[in-house]
This record gives sequence, structure tokens and C-alpha cells, in this order.
Amino acid sequence: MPVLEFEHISKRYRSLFREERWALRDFSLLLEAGEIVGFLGPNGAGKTTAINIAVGLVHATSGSGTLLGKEFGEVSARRRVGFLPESPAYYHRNARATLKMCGALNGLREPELSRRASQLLAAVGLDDEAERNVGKFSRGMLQRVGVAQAFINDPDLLILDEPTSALDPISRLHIRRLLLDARNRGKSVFLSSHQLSEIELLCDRIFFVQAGRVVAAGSTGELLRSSEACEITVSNTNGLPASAVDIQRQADQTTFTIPVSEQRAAIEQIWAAGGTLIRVARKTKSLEEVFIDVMNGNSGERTP
Amino acid sequence: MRAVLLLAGSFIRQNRWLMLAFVGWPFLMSAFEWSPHHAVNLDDVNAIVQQEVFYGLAIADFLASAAIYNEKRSRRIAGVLSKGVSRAQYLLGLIAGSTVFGGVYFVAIAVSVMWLLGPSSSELHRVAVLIICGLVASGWVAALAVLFSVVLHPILAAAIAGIIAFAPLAMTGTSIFLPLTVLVRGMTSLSARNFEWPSILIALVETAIFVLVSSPLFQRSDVAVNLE
Ligand SMILES: Nc1ncnc2c1ncn2[C@@H]1O[C@H](COP(=O)(O)OP(=O)(O)O)[C@@H](O)[C@H]1O
Ligand SMILES: [Mg+2]
Repeated sequence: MPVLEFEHISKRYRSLFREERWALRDFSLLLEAGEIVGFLGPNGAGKTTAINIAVGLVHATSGSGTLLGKEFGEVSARRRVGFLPESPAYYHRNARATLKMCGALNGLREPELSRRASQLLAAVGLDDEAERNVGKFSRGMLQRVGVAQAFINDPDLLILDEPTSALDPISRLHIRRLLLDARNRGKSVFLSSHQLSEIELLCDRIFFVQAGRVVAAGSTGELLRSSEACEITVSNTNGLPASAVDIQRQADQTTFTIPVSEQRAAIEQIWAAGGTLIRVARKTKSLEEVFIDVMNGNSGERTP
Repeated sequence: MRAVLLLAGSFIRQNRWLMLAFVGWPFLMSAFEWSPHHAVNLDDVNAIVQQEVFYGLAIADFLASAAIYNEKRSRRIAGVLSKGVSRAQYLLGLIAGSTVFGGVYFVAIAVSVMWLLGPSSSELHRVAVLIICGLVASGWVAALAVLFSVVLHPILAAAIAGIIAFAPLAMTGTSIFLPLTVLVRGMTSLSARNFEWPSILIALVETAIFVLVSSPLFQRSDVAVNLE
């Protein structure tokens, strides 16, 4: 059973004096249990809108979807979800009380409530600030409170809208640990971000969104390997294949790139010319390259 | 139920300083009125109570009608409604919070009046009328204000709810369907010694109707919107 499913969801925002705007158009996505899935797209792509629809804060104009098997908007499903809003804001009280309030709203009771609050404050590195008023917290600290409260009910599904956008490297590490640990315990994580490095480190699968649609999807490994080029390094040769590009010469070594389909012919040609093969490697893309390709519409793996 | 109590508690906690100020107000008024040399004038006390009751209901109107807007603007609503909390529970929490706010204030009025007039059994009864009717009336006003604030800008909501609640009070006569006309008269008149049960009942029923109408309206609205 999918833990989260969007089926042909469209969302139109209307306001009195501004023109209407489609934040999502026929948006479909399916999230299976037990993985960390990244939701990647430029600003304004519709990530926050999709997430807000899933947790029932916003209603779809058309289409439907399920959260842990229940229609969007059902209270009982939300009780088993941990949610971090894009810019979290809390009542002015101390961090511990904030966490406990959030847990209580999800039906958690003492002594579990206190135990988990302390545990999570430590996990996000806020144990020394637990009794301080969150109204005086920096943006990064608030975000950590936000992540901690998302975990308070030990949710089956975590939905995090840009969880690391304001964080320093140490805090990012804390949160990465929490998320990986959750995944290893069979929980599912759905996180949006435009920080590619974070997604690359964490996610098993990536959905690319652009202008309110999923434009590409795939496992992180596949996407990074999805390059159709290979890089060859040779020495003692002058005759390079005609299709070689990106040619770099260093001492007696030459490195060039050719399409994978011509790899074999190129190697044979070099051997025939008496050259020495030093290295052949399938070129991997950085997630940044994949992202830019996808956004420019050059992706091989499109979903309908 | 627990969620409603938590939300009501949170609402009161947020408004605790305002509540403290309101609780102090009747005592301040009584202190001005009190004199060691002569007995207090009942008509004066009556006028003061009348004014204090009006303030209590007005603040319930303002707090309740501004609550959703403030929570949206501060984005705190997202942290609450994304939890295991239904929209109806959220509204009930707000109304309960506003009602308790009013209730505490009416207890303060009652105690300050007792202090002026001296405790006697007839005064105790009068005080009970004041508190019970005050609670019911605050709940009624708060539910009405919340109903309008679900669909309108809070200032407009407060104004409309205020007009519906208070305009009939300026006229003579009472209407059974405008329970405030009966309840407020009972609370502010020294001769009223009895609970107006029919009006209390009608007020409670109407409060329930306001909640039943506002819940589906609120259910349909987006709460994570840019208000700017
Ligand atoms: N409340 C709103 N009213 C009008 N337009 C909105 C509202 N919220 C978002 N939008 C618009 O919808 C689009 C998607 O926004 P959003 O979901 O926040 O994107 P992302 O999170 O990917 O940056 C944007 O063009 C944004 O301007
Ligand atoms: Mg966003």
C-alpha cells in the first residue's frame, strides 16, 4: 500500500485582485513505504502546495489523493504523520513545552510525551536550550524545533518541507541521522528541497517538479548514472576517434569523452594504433547536472 | 475533546496578560466606588456592572473574530491543523477559550460586586446569575464572531457580530431569538433574581448552530495562504 499518493491533483489559487494561478497541474506521485524520497524543484514549482494538500491545510481544486491509505484531510491519518512546515512558527513558550503540545495534539500522553521530548531535543542538539522560549530562537533553531516536533509521535510517514534550509552543517548532520534512522526502522520520509547535495546524500528516490508537474523521477543512483557518455584515458596515441569531445592532454596522457555506444569501437581503434588504454569509466552526472538537464527538458526518464 | 481543551488552554495562555488586565478592571471600578463613610448607591453599582458586562462581551467578540486571522498570519495554524486535530475541534477550541476568558472576567465582576455590597444570600444568587449568564453570553458572542471570521476579514466579522449582538440591546423590549436581550438585562439589573432558563437554553442551541454552520465552511477553506 502506498503511504502517500497524489492522483491528478490540480490546484488553482485565486485572489480578489490578482490573476489566478495554477500551482499544480495534473500532479501525480506515489510514495511506497520504507524509503526516503526527495521532492526537487525550483522556487514556485509547487512543492509546498503539494505538501500542504497532503496534510489537509489546503484543498485541491480537482483530483484526489491518500495519506497512509486515507483520503486527504482525514484526521486519523494525520495523527501518524510528522509534518514540518516550510517556515515553522510556534507559540511563545519553551522548546520542551512546544514539543509536548505538538505530541499531545497527536494524542500522545505522559510519560511517553516527556520522554520523547527530551530524547528529540537532544537529537537535534537543543538539549541546552530546552527551557528557552522559542519566540527568541533563530530561524535555524526554530527549524530544529520543527524537525523535533515532527518526530514526536514516532510517525509512520514524515513530510518535511525544506528541513535543512536554514541549518548549519552540524545540525544538518543531526537531521540526516534522524531521517536515516527512521528509514531504517521502516518509516517513510518525503522531503522537499532545492539543496541538491542534501537530497543526493539522503534520498533513495527523487521526483523532479516543475511548474506544478512531476517532470522526471527515478532512483538517485539511476539518475546520477543516467549519463550516456564515457570517459577514456589513453597514452602513446595520436589517433583519437572522430566523435571524441572534451579532449584534455596532460603529459603523455589524453583524456576524452565519447558516447557509450562508440566506446568499444574507440578502444579497438586506439589499440590498433598502438596506444595504451589507461582508464575507461562511465561518466556520472552530478545531481546538479541532472537537475539542470531535467529543468531544461533534456531528461531521458520522463513520467507521463 | 482533549484537543479542544489543549487548544482552548493555548488560546487563554496567549491572551493571559489581557485576561489579567480584564480581571483587575472590575476591582478597580469597585475600589473607586467604595467608601468607608456611606453605603454604596445601588444605582451606581448597577451602572458600573452594566458597563463591565458590555466590555466582557465586546472582548469576546474581538478575540474570537481575530483569532483565525492571527493564527494564519503568524503561520502557527499550520503547526496545529496538520496534527490530529479536526477543523471543528479547532473552532471549538477557540470558542471555548473565548468563553473561559469571558467566564473568568464575569467571576471577577461578581466578586467585585460582592465586595461592594457585602455577601448575603440574595447577593450570592445574583452573582450566580451574573456568572452563568455571562458564560453563556460570551460563548454565544464568540461563536457568532468565529462564524463570520471564517468567511470575512476579522474587522468586518467583529463589526457584524457586534451589531447583531449589541444593537438589539439598545432597543427596549426583548426577543426570544436574540437571547442576549434577555441575558444581559438579567445580568445588569439588580432586580433580576432568577435565571432565565428559556433564554439560556436558546442561547446554547444557537451557539451550537453557529458552530455547526461554521465548521463545514472552515473545513472548505485553505489555511496555509499568503495573507500579504
Ligand atoms: N496562497 C497563495 N496564493 C496565491 N498563489 C500562491 C499561494 N501559495 C503559493 N502560490 C503560488 O503557487 C506556486 C507554487 O508555490 P509553492 O507551492 O510555494 O512552490 P515551492 O514550494 O515549490 O517553492 C507559486 O507560483 C506561488 O506563487
Ligand atoms: Mg516551498
